[in-house]
Amino acid sequence: MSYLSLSYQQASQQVPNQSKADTQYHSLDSFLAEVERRAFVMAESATRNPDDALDLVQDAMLAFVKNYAQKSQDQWAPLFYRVLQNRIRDWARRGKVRNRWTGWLWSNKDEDEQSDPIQSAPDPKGRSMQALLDQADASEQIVVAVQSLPLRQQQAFLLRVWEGLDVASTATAMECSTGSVKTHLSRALRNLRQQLQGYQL
Amino acid sequence: MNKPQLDQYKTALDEHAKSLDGATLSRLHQARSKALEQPKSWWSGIDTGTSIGVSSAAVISLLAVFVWQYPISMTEHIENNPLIGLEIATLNDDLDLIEDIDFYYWLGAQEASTESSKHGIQTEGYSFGFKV
Repeated sequence: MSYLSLSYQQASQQVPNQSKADTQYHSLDSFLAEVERRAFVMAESATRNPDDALDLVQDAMLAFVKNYAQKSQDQWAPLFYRVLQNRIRDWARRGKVRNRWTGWLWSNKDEDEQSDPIQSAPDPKGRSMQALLDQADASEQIVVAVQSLPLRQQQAFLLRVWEGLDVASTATAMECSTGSVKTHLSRALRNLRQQLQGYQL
Repeated sequence: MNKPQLDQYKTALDEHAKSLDGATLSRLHQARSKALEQPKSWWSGIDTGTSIGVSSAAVISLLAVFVWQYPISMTEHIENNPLIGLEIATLNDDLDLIEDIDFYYWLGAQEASTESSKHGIQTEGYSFGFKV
């Protein structure tokens, strides 16, 4: 076989490969563009800090593209949120360690009922949760109430109710059992109902 | 909790996501671009297969050369020292022990050094006697 025919073969193989790569690039770009705002809101709800939230989203995007881009597209959403929720949990753990070093005392309550250091952290502008709820309009009240949920309840609520993942995908994203998802979600809804009870929504 | 209430929650969160400021959106866009800037082999799956294949072939070739060369060098050593081969052939030891060729090299070296030291003592003896 001549050099020319070999080159032609290589070139003809590269063209479909190149177009496949381009298609995948555009699919990934579209997927990330679609989820980036919601991912940011999730991270911001957990951290209450836009800069930390942006860092977490960026880390999650990098890790997702590196590790899971070759998975089928119907798996992308749960896998992306799994990476993101992992980053958020790591961030929360680092916060807990920091707080322990600064003398934080922990009660022996159930993990879900524990006072969450992120949620109980003071507002940067010095406003209490109640004051924020009082000042906010209906939509903002809901956002503030969601931000005040303990982390696992918040994750279950945002993934299941807002993102619309089914229970199994939510469990994959949260790396827990489907039973745990249901428990966290039920507690989240109860908490939200209690918090928003006195407000006109 | 009823469905309209859940829809209200979803709508509120959607509005919040839509109302993100320009600076945040710009940084999100940068984050996305940075993620997609990674080497294409990480996400395209085209070069990955090729590179894995080439690496595997290289490792297998190296192993094959090593495995091929190692017994040849041992055989050559025995061929160059026919006495070692003969000694091994006439031994009634375990095959495992015979296969431990390093041991026989060591044994040969020890015997050779003993011989030479004996020789040395004799020489010294002669020289000693010579002096006396």
